[in-house]
Amino acid sequence: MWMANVGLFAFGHAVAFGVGASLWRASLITIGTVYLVFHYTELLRGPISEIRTQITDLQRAEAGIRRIRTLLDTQSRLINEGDDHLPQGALPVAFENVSFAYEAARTKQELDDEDVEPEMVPALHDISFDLSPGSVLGLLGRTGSGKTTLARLLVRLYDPQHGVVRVNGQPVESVQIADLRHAVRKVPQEVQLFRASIRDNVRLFDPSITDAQVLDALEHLGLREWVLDLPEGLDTMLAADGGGLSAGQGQLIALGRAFLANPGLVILDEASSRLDPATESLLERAVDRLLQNRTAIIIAHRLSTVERADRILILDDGRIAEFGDRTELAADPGSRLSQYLRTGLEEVLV
Amino acid sequence: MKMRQIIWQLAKYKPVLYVGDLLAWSAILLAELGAGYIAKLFFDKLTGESTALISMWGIIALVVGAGFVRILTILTGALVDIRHRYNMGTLMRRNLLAGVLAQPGAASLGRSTGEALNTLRDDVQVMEDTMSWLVDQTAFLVYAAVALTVLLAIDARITAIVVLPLLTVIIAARAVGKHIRRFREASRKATEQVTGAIGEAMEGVQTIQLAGAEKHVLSHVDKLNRKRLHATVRDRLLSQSFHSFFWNTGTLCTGLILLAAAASLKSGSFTVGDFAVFVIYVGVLAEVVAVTGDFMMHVKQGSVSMDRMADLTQDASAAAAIVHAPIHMTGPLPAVEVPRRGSSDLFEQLNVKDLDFEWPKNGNGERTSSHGLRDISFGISRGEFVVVTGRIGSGKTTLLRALMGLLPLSSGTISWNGAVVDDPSEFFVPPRCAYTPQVPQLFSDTLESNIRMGLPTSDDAMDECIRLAVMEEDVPHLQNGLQTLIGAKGVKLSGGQRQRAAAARMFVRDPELLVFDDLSSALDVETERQLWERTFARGDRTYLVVSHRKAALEQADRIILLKDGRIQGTGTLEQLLETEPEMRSLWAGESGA
Repeated sequence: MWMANVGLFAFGHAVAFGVGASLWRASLITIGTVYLVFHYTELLRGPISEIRTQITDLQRAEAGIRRIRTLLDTQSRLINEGDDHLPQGALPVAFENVSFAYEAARTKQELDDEDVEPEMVPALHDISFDLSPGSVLGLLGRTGSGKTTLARLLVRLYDPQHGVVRVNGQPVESVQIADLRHAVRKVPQEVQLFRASIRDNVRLFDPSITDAQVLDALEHLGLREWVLDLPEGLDTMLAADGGGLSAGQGQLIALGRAFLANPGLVILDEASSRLDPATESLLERAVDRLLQNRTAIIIAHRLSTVERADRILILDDGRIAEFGDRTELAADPGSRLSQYLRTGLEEVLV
Repeated sequence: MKMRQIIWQLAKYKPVLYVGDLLAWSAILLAELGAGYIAKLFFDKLTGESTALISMWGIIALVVGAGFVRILTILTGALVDIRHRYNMGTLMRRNLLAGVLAQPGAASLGRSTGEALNTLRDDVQVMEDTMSWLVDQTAFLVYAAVALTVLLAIDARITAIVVLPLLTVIIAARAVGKHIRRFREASRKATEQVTGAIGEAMEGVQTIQLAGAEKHVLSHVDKLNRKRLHATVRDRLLSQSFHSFFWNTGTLCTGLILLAAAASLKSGSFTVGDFAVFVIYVGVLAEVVAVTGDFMMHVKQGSVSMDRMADLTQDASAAAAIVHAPIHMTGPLPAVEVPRRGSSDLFEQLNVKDLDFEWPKNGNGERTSSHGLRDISFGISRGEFVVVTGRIGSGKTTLLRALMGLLPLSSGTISWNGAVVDDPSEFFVPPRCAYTPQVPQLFSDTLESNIRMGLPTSDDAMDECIRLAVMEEDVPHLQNGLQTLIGAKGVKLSGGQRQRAAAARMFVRDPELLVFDDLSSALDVETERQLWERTFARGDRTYLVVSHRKAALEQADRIILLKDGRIQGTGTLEQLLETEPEMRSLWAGESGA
């Protein structure tokens, strides 16, 4: 572009000189006019090179827009057409013959080739169970047995290929996703903290939540005093990756988020990393409060957590290996649960 | 390090390329001056002032010819400059990455990945520009000097009237420089916060979705973006006003020249050709002043970028970011260096003496939940299986990390075969030592590349290592076996598979001393037992292992029992069970509920 520009101006000057000289020789124009033609040609240089730069910029912008459009055109496969709402208070849960398989990750080439059917990796087979409102389900099983998948179906991160997942008797697809995720709150194992104030980390930037509500949630967690003692209180900024907080405090903040949502069903993916005893007891108390008057599903890693459960569901390779009342199962020496309890939960489950 | 030294150091990296760049750009600008001189020839010829032998058509041919010369020099200049830029940028990015990797592995980056990427991308770009524009700047000064000489030869008095306002402008630039730097810092910081927030939002997509906080997070990013807008507008406004001030000074000079030249034109001592060359060359000088001003601003911005690079590599002088290193821009990539086992690498004895470690206090003055380490002394001899055990938070992982240089020691010495190790993080690497952490770091690549990590190992050796890591039954079940893409951080693998892949990565390196952090968080009893059985069967290797599993404790030649960051006792299982109540309580805990 630039070189074309230079070529154009060399040509332009040559023409200006040629025309100017012959007109001057024919006494048709004054030397002032010859200079004017030359000078004007020179003046064009600035704007034209500016246009050149702008065109380059525009081309870049066009490429950028095209990439952005590809991103925006990506459609979520979850259809959010439900318009039912969920009531406040503890919610019953039911799985009816639910089966689910993940699509295997594909290489880029396979993605481009639309004829190739994605390979499916089964995760859950024909899962059916009921959970009455207010009860606590302990979900056990080894890594890869389908615990996390089961939780994901409840909050509609995926839809099952077969069967129905019901919350409050309503199929989850019939409920607005926003409403569903408000009423069913999953507390993840790994806490995502943001480089923002403690306030915004607890309320996840929701401006409609007041300081009083945030402090109230912190009170439940036993963190209120600690936060108020900080020189900047709720305004204290957390560093990147939650620097400045211990792992336990991070987990407490995740629980605080759940408190603020006031869900009817809590899914708790218990962290497998262990904490110091003081934080551990804070966490236990916070979990106790969170579970009050709520239905809960706990992906358990610890014996003390299993003891909170009314019902136990053990998954093995995506199938229900055992489901029933905790006390009954524990009393039956032939059950998997009592086998687990004998060998020690941490030894068997991961 | 001063900016001058930094630039000199970078210029010396590819001196031939840099000088070539300089020559090419000087040629481009001199060709431009030639065009101005041809205009003088034209007008002098036209008005009959010139005695030159060249004809009018000759002059026109010269115009076209000069155009072609310019096109050629620009082409050369652009090619040289692009190569030079890539060399500079790649060198700095390479060094930044090396700097990040040289920091104690378990200490945090100090900022989010998004922010660090910002430095790798934008700050490097700013320095790249500085180096490239320095070439232009130098060429511009040559250009200005030639133009000035020509002008002085034509009329010294009028030329003097040009130079004075230009000097004033340069002095003014120095005065405003401070603000430019401050505004630029604020604007860079605001940008960093935006990219940081976007990065966090990407990482936390699930958290945000599940909390229904999409809208709120967007408005948070929006708010940060507004701040960025504000800071950027201030930054740009100042630099643009500065810029336009320069340009207008140039125009003002042109006016002065016209006034001064009017009288001489009338008297005939100043020809129309002189006038043409004066206007063009004054424009040239004004351009040089404007460019110089821009460049001086840019150097200030460059020093901000250097500070940020220094910050990323935690190196106060920024020297590490620009140290000369090979970057292999052309030709085949060098073969991966296979760690060679020298006779001094053969492990005999490891001694740890009076090792202390204190966790840094965090911003709130609170201690983190983990204990530091106090008065840790122990030794390991060749062929031993040593188990570190203790309660949660007793400092087991901290001990391994401190030993391997992943955390900075407060005091104490570590010696290998009797010789003190100065830099554990550099020393405790294969073939001497390898480590499987609790949370393995896997990359978004095939399983095989994750295990090999560039090491050319025979397929038989690979198979053996996979067997040692008790992974031989898992591999055939993966979609493409060893060639399966395991996704970011290995998400396609189960927790246990990730752990064993990391163990296989360690076995492939065949180290003298194998260090395992607690495997039990990801492996069930049976798998862990198999793993120990297979590794013991190999013999002649030394192990330092954190575990509380019976399979490991029973096999241990020695157990180091930690409590609250101190060694509570050392000995075999029987000895410790006899003397230490802490050991008995741990052992009982392991027996089940």
